[in-house]
Amino acid sequence: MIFYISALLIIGIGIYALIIKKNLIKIIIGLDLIETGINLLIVSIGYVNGKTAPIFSKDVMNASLMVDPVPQALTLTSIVIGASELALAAAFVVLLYRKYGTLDIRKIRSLRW
Amino acid sequence: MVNLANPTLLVVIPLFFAFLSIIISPFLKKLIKFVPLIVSALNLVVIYFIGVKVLYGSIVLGTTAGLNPPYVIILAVDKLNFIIVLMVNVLGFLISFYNIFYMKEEPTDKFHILFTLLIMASSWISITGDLFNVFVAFEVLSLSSFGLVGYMRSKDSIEAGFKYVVQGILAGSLLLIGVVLIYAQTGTLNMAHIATKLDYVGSLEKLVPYVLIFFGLAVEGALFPLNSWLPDAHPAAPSGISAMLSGIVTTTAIYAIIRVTVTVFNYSAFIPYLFIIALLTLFFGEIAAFFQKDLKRMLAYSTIGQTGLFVLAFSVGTQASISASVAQMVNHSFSKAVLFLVAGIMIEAQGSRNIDDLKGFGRVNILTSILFVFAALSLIGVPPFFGFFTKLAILQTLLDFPGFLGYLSFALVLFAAIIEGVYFYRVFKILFEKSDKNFQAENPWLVISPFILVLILVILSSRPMSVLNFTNDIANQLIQRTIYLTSVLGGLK
Repeated sequence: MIFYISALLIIGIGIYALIIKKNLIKIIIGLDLIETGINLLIVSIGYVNGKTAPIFSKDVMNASLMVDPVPQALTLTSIVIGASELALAAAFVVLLYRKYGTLDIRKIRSLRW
Repeated sequence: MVNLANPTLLVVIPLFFAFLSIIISPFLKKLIKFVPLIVSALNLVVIYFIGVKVLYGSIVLGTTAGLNPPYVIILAVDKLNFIIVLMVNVLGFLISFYNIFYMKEEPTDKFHILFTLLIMASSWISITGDLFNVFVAFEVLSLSSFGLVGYMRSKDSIEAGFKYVVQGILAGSLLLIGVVLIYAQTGTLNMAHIATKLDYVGSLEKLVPYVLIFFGLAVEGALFPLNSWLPDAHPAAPSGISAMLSGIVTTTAIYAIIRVTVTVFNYSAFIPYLFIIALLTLFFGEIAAFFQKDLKRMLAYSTIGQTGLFVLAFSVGTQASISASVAQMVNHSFSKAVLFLVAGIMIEAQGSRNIDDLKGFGRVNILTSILFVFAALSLIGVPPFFGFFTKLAILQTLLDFPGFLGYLSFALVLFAAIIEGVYFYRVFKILFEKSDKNFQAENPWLVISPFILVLILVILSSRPMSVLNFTNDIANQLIQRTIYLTSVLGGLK
């Protein structure tokens, strides 16, 4: 339960940053927090109390002692996707800063929002 | 002999070429521009072999890792998937031909690699049978289109790109939460397997993930409250990309919504809301298009309106309405692609996107302007063109929607068609007005792709009934979802 609550809290903080903050870097941090929160949510869905990582080894050969492996695979995928997206967003911020000389979103308005 | 009727090839071929071209691009920079062309041509060959089977009513499966569904990721092609993936690759082929001549500033290798990935991701979304795959393909699609929108690195395109990135990431997150909540309840990610298990899930537990997935896809599909990125991103992108975004990306997103709504959730409770959202999208898109002075921005708003139109038709929920919706999707994809490609030629000739600066263009470049007029007339739905038959089919089904909303939407669709007519007529008038301005003559290579697309539209117009019969088959197969479920799961309960 604590996992779900903290995951939702992190997502909430991210959405807050995305909506309220006017600095481009803080917006990206907000996006990152949302993705982290979701990853925590995915892992906690597959978690079963008192079981080990889903890796067959000498000590653990019985699949019923392990947590669900699928959410962990999903998390890995979403971490990779999230990293590449944030890198792209950061690249856009660099370009924006070069063109406009500011990170304040209120001053970057050549297009109608 | 390799079995060519394997949907997996549609994803593997573009990915292979995309990675290969990253490796060889330092040595053979000039050749990279042919990669998307080769890729979509190879994909079309595969689609032909798949199509032969699909048209006889079977569902072609592509499994991975040698296991049976639902334990592996599968790709499934039924008639609906077939027509979408066919559209993706036909447009991909013609637009990449256009891009070869449109993108002049070398080096263009990165542009063409991203375009290959865009073709791959759109094909992937339109054939996958796995919900998590929809998310992954959706992200690949978004990533490559982010890069392409910001490719020109002008002030406009960077800012539009950043807006698109933020909204795209948020959309992906919503989609992912939805998919994961589904997994938490059913323990599977295979669409057909989920569909069989969701019958035992309560309606609220179904509603929350459905809404999340819907809004996640609706950002890319440009439905009403979530489409503020589109009127900036489409004009800022190079014209070939605008055509691809309008013709393909929104269409595949709407396809994904249709697939999730009908096959996975079998959900009718949400349909009235979908109807209202689509109505608002149609209305605001067309009204906003009416007030634009920028040619590409006008076309972008018109895309929003058209998207509203075919989602509206779909959300009536009968077989006839789904059929009309798919037909309109085909019409919109081809004609809007022509409009954007031609707009690219016009903008290149005059150096600005303002409609008023086009005065007299039609008197110099007659062929280009006539292609624009043909495509616009088909989009509006003027009688001899294909668009007329699809709009007629949509209007016929709208009256099936119960109550006052049905009549209201009927009136609004007619009203929207009139507005569309007015703002396109304004462009025609300016195009053929007398003026002493000198324009560059059209580049004949650039005109080939829109010309072929218009030719396709003309062929469709000459046999509208056989097209509508085919879309009717599609809708029939979509509604009889048990066939899809059993053939994907191989009789597994």
